[in-house]
Amino acid sequence: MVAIDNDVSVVTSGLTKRFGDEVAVDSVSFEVPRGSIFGYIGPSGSGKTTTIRMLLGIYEPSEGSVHVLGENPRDFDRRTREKIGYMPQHFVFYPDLSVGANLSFAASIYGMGAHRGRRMNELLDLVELSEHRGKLARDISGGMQRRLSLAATLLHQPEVVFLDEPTAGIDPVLRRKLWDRFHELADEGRTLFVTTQYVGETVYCDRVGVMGGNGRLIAVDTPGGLRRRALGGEAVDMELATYLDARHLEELRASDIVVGNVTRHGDRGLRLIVREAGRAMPALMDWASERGLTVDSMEEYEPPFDDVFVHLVSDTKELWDTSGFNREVGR
Amino acid sequence: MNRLLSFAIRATALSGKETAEIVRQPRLILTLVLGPFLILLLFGVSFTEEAAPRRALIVVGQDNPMRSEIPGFAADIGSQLIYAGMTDDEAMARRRLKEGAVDLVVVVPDRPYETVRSNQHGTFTIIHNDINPVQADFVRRMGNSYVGDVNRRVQETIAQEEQAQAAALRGDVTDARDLAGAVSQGLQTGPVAERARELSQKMDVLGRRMDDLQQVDPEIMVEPFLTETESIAEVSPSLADYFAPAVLALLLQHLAVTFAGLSIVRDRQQGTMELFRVSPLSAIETLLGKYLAYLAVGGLVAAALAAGATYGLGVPILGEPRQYALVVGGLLFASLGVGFVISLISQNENQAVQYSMLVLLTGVFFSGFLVILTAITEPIRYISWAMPVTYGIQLLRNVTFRGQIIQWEFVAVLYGLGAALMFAAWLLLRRQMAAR
Repeated sequence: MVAIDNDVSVVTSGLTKRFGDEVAVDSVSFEVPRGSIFGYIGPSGSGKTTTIRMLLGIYEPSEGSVHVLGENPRDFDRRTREKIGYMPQHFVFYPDLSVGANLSFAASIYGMGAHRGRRMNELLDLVELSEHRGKLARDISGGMQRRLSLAATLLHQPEVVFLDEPTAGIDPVLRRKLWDRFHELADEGRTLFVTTQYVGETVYCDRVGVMGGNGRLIAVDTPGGLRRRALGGEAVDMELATYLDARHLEELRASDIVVGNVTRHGDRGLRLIVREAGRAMPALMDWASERGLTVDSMEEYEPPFDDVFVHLVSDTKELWDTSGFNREVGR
Repeated sequence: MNRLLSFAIRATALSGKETAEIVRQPRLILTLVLGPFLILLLFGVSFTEEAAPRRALIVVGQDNPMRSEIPGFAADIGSQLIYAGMTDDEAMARRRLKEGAVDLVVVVPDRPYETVRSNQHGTFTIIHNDINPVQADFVRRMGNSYVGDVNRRVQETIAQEEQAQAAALRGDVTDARDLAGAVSQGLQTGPVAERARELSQKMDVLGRRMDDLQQVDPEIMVEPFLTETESIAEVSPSLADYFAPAVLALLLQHLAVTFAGLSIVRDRQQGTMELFRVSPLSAIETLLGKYLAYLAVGGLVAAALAAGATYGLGVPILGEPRQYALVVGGLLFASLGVGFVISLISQNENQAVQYSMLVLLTGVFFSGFLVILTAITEPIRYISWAMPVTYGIQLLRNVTFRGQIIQWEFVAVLYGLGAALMFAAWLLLRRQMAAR
């Protein structure tokens, strides 16, 4: 039995979906706090869309439980559905209707009345489609179609929004703008569940679920937490005035400051994995000073999420390959 | 040579792809081949050239000498007519014909034999209520055939009577010859005057008989009775006009089935159905919305086609527009139900199109469009009654050419069928919109 918390918009426990013998989603558990952005990343075919479909009641889970806004999606009533927005992965609107007519259609299926005009204008402005309002949907680009879908999803001001790759095919400038808008929505208390193929967008999320292969959830954490998991701690780049000899390097590795690898970068550079960069950097300064070493520069290194993601997935894959361990690895 | 090889590779790449796509859709191939074959087979098996027997009510006066002969004639009436009784009330017979209680009224001529003896054709009037020109012509030909039979019977009777008369004449001629011999002998031996008078009398009789024979019109002799066909229908349309309502009904059914057939399957293939399933939109709202749209479009198309038929082709529409609308509405409603069920059981657009074409083909063969319904034997005729277009054709023809619906039960069936199909479509759609 899952406890329903009003501060949690989405909660799953042991969520599993099988199609015949094939397991698409395997025992996935996570919580999405109300008013947050939950990123859901994973390689193609990892079960992201299947998970979303179970959260929306399109698919019945084979095992496990799911609650959205405190209700089992199977039992969603009209009122609950009105609180949910969904943007599917592919463009599903009508190519022979204009941008405006498609948006109006979306407003109608959510029962929006006369006030829809202003709201439609706002959203067309947001997705920069105001000038294309009269064009047929088939005559606009794929990116514009994604933006139209997004506008249609947000039109009825849903409390929980499920966005399946909302930024795919959208240029980086507009992508950034959309993420800003997502943050505004989260600030308004709305919950966003976003899958993305751009791993770098993980940084915009409050919490991130990482799907590995075979429908397994590798990790759920904040973006920083994921970095720490991938590296085994936080990374600090330190540039010394002179080359650090082997003796000092061994000393550093053996010290309490360092919790992971120490690797050389160039002649005088070092990258160290520490527990907490904020505390480790003064300690490193002291350590160098005690040994008469001059530090030219020192800063926290934040590896790109592409690397973090690859690291997490490949580590897990190794573990799967060797031990069959399938959840929450790397913690 | 290389260019030729490249050309062949490129071309065969496409043929390979097309073949693979077709082979991977066994259901499509089945419906493409087996469907039309099955329809043609069923049509071939069920079609009969034998016309359905018609119920005939005979109008004959109480003192008509033929009245006593009719029951005997009815016993040997053949397979095309069913003897539905005799009456001397023609007005009542016409009423029964109009009500559809009988199919034909046959009015026997008054004083038939006197009429013929007075060198006039006796005329049987066959009254029908067919608006189908082919069937009206069939009634005319059937009337001719039956009156030909009557004529043959009359001629037989006359021939028998004439043979009896000839036997009597032969006696008269023998008597005359004997008298002539006696006169010849009397001239030599006895009283001549008495014998000559007798001879003259015999010759007079003979002469009168010859005169009677000469006065009979050979045409009357050969064909004493004729038929006249009369229709109580308000109009007798031409063949082209007669087909107009049927074409309209078939087009409307096809339009509705195709529109609805593609509608939901397209939403499903496009992914819009997924959006519907997540939204507050219910299955009944989805269906109602689609029904309303297609009913409106179908209604406009029907109005345009009816106007085109009336003002462009000159097909008279005697019925009131509201009756026409009621029939068209029922036909569209039921046909949309067929289409939505097709859409919900089809896996893709190809299948939906193929099923729609099969419905069209079935409509052409079994709805009474191509051949009258009675030419299709039972139980295959049940297929006819399962299709909205069958009722649509009958009703539109009545509204167009008779000015009224007449078969109100057909209207009820159309709307009932539509409601049942809508219910089935709702169940299917609800199931498809539920989590699975």
